Amino acid sequence: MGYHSVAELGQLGGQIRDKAIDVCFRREIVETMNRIREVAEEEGVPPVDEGGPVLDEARIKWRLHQFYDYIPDLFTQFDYPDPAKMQGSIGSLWSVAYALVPETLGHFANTPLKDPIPANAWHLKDSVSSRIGQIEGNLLSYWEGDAADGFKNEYLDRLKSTVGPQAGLAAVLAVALAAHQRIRQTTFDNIWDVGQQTLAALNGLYSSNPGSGKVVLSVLTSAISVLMAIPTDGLSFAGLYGLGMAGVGLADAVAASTKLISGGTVQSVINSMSDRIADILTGIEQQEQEICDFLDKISTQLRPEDLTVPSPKPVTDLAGADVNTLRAKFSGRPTS
Amino acid sequence: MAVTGDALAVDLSRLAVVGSVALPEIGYVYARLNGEVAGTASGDLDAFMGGATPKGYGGATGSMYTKWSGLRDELQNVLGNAANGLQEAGHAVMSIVQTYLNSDDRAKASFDQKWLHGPPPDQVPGAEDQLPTTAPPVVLTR
Repeated sequence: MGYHSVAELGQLGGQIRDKAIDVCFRREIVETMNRIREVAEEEGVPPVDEGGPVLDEARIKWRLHQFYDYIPDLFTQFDYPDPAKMQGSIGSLWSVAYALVPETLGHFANTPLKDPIPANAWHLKDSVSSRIGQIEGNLLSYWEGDAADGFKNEYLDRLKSTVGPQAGLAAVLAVALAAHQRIRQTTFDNIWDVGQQTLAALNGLYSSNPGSGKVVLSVLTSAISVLMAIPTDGLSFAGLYGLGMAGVGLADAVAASTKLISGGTVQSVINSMSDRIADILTGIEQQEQEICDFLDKISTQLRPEDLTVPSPKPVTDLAGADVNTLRAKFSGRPTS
Repeated sequence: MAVTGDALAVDLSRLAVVGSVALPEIGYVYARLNGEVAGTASGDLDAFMGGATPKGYGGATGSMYTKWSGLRDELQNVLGNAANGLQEAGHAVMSIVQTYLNSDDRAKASFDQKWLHGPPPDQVPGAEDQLPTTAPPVVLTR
């Protein structure tokens, strides 16, 4: 999948424009002259025998430029930054999911995403959950009473319960951004392919046996193919994923769409090219909408209490207490 | 909870490990992850700008950016608030320890002896990776 700069896109569009003009001039001169006369008449330009400009080569090419100078803009409208630049953010989000729940990686082993965790991801040997467990099971086991219970039940236990959903949200954000990245990658692939096939179809018009070119518009299923790779079970946030997937109508979206660029004349080839570019634009919009729908489903299922870490109030409230109050709150443990 | 003397010092020592090591270390984890998520904002322009739809305005790309960045900011805040809360909890626990120590000279002497070289190794959980107990500043979006 290759990124193409705006200069490269403009150059490709310029080649198509120049090719279209050349074929018109060399192979379709009669049709071209007729078209020029029609346009001139619409503009009120008098014909040659009434003092109008002579339709010499320069005048014809000037008109042809008028007809086709818009073509480079069709390509440069895809002036997006290099999608590879998103990889840093995608990797960061996967790293967060992995650091919170190291088992995250295992859930993707048998999916098309395979191993989304970056090689340099932060690997915590003791997960957050196990660290909280150490406090509860070891250090705090020597403490009893209201204060110890409050700290354990209202703070540490709830803190532990948010870890999974937080990792899930990080993974959801990574997947959504990866899907968006795929849209951009396939857009570059597809627009470049459309340009090349258009050039080939125009070249075919030099012969008396014009052919047609096929373009596979992978952008039409780009985001959904990434969303489909999300595992549906084995994760604490499987419910969120499952619901997100249910809403995006994945079952029908499989094969990318193969379309033709063809025509027996320059104008029909250019029209065919314009149709394919319109297909790409529609595909981008639809696929981005799929991601929006996916994120909407996730948003509606996320409850603040699933994510939000509780206040440490059960312990901070005691920070300024006198020793008698503390003794009352920490009562209960037999003196050892 | 032991009442006085050496036994109290032992219990307070364990509590001090919670306040000065265990909670701050988890706070460090959250603060670092908060920073990781916050750092993704620097890639927003590269991810969402360009083409016919500028970042954040109109069209499905703009709509997606609004939704995605909203969830991203939520995660960032949640992680940041967790980091801050853990640091606060650690400080509170240490304040409680100090109040107890101030009330019992014998316990304080015993505790100080135990903590002469920092947290007693036999009381610190056997974490495989030692983390800093001073967390980087968190980045909140609101």
